[in-house]
Amino acid sequence: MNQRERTAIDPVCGMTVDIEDAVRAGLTAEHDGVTYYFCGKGCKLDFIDDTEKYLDPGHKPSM
Amino acid sequence: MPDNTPWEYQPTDWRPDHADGGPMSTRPTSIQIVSFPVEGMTCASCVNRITRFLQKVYGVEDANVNLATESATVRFDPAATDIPRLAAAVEAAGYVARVDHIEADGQEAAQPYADRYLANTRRRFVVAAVLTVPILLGLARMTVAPGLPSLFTDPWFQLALATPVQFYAGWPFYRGAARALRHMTADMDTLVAVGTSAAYGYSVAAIAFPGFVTAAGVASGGELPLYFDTAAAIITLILLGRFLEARARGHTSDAIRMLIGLAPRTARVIREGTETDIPIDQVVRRDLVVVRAGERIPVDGLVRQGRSSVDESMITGESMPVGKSPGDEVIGGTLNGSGSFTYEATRVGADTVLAQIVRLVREAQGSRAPIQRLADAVTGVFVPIVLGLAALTFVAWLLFGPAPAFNLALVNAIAVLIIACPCALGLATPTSIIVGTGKGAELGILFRDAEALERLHKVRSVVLDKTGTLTEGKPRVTDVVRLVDAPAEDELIALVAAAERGSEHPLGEAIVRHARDGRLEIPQADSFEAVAGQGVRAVVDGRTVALGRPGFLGLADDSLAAAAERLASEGKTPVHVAVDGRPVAVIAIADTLKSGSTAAVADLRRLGLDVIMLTGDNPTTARAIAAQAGIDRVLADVRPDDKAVQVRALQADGGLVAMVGDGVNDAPALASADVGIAIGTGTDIAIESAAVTLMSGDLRGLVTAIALSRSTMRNIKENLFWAFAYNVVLIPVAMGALYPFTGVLLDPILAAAAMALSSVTVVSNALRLRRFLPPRIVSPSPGAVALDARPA
Repeated sequence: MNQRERTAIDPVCGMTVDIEDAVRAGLTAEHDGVTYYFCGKGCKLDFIDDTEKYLDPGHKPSM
Repeated sequence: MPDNTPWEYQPTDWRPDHADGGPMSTRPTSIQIVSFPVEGMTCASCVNRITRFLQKVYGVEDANVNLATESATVRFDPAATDIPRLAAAVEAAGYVARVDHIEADGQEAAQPYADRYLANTRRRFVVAAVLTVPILLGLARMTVAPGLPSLFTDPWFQLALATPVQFYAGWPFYRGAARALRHMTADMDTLVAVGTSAAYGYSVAAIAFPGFVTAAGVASGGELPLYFDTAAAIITLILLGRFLEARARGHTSDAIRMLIGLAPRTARVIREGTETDIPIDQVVRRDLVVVRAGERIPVDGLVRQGRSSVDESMITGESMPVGKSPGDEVIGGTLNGSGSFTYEATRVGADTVLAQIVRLVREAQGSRAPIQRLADAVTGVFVPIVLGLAALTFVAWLLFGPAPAFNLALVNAIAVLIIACPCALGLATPTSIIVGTGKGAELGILFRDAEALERLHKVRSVVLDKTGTLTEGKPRVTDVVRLVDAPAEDELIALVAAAERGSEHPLGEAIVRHARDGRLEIPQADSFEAVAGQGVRAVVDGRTVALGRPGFLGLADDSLAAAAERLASEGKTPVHVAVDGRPVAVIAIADTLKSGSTAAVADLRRLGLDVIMLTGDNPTTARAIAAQAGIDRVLADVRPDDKAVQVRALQADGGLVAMVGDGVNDAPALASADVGIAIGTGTDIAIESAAVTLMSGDLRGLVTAIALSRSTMRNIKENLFWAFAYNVVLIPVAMGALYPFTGVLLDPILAAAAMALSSVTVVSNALRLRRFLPPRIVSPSPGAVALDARPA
């Protein structure tokens, strides 16, 4: 079986997030069929509140 | 003539309009500060989000959220919002506000966290040290003490000891490395985690798969190469460094407690016609408060009846006690003189001047950014390079190495990781800091923490408070200008002192002190009359002596008037004297510059620093003193609560700002400055709020402190170099550079040698700092290089 990606980048803050951990904690959100993973509840809520802003390619993750 | 010439006396007090006796700016409503833990934060975005949500709440003035302490500090107007609403805002942001753990003192929310960290670090260090010693005995057995029992080199014995060290004591490094990794950076934790795991893991593998290792030819003389000692020693030493650093961190809440202690616990109020003592928090506005001689004034208010002289120096820093009569404001926390009076409370509880100062200090202390540790910066670059080299080693051996290629490639790649972690790294900074602060203490400079020592060397501007810092803080007689036919100076002083004997007025005290200093006999005055705001008249040895305003004395003399004007322009207070109805002299009284101030200012400028004077005094006096000291930037008329604002404005201009002060009123500014420096002869609160204390009260100590700071920083850099040097030299050996010629690869003895050498070198180098000598300060003379200003 192929090695699946173990980590993802949180689109809000730019942190590298372990996918399993995120899924287990419910820190995921779907948009347009793509699943995003987050480092914490705050980033997830930020994303939900203002999805377009964080998906904009010009958006710089605030670190 | 400008309006605020020094002899425009106030109607109620014949002290000229020198000192800052004005009322504090009043805020319309009270502001509360509250701190509480916040759970669930993971990154800086969370901090932003919570801050945004809190600031949107109506009534919140400011919110400060701290990821490291996992807490939020909010300034809000309790009339507009309340704590449940703040908690709701945090929850709406997606986090949990533990408002059952409210700390009224924002700093105390952070203190337990700091205490826990210290206790944890100490525990881990002790465990690591205890377990590492036997492992090192194994190393000793292999090298210098073969007579030791063979238990010490038994692999299972070493494994049993090394495992708790690696995973219990060393746990924080894994945690830190994981956090750094999530942010795609590397810091000291990463280096330690990688290096020690490589050493530990390799050793475990050597026990589990001895064949693999011996095939690579690294088992010298049949002994398995074990690096448990390397891993354990690194962890132990780095923990030691962390423990030393944590222990040296300053206490921040003592300043607050002391400030709060200035206000008395009880107040005497008149209710229903009788005087009763009540707890201070039961005093309400419009209460009539009675204050007797020598007592502390409980709350802010307006004098209604009686008069006295109040020492406000602990709040305003101004040396001259202020005369109070009906209609004057009094400030809670100040000390009453020998009169008694009744006043009406105007501001109580959280609204008082004192409470505002406390708030300002708390905020300033809570919001300071931590400095970037040099060691972390270096490691951030070093780690990727090492990882690259390890990868390169692996590939090179795999492709070009002799058989068994895979074994050799893996073993050597890991060897690179093992040797790359310098165990003295954790000691490089703390050892220098400890020696540096110790040296400072010897020289009369107290650094409250490592941060102070590290920041001071980067300071670009120095702000100096005037009274008590640049000046003595005590008014003194500076000039006696006599007319030709006046009594001799000693006789004159004795007469005047007799008239002023027993005066609690600061100018009178200065005269009496002057007489006593001159060992003059002060005769007894036969009669005495004081006219408030005008002067004093007495009969001494049959002669009438009068001192005070020119008008009070009746007749005037032109040359004396001219002298008085000249003295005033020098920032002094002129006092006219008449004997037997004739004006005879003018005595000037001033707060004089401390003897070291001018030299210190000159040296500070020579060090390349901007020097600025900040004072609550009026501009005329301030500029006169500034000119004497050699300072050309003066900020005068600054209210105590504005001092911090001024400091922040200077910070915005760029560069680090140091502030030197001595009074309670300086505490918020000292806490806001990048480096707050207290003059040791000042109030305890200034000392507690400041990062550095100059014990001698001499400003020249500041020059020494800056030189010491620069030397210490240089020492730290040297230490970092040495910490890495031996290990870096061995990296090529680990990579196999010597193999083609001598067959030598890394082995535990070499690694241990590097460890020992680097530790010894670092500690010895740090001890060199003991030989620091304070720069010789010579009075400024053009062209002369007076200061051994060693560059940073």
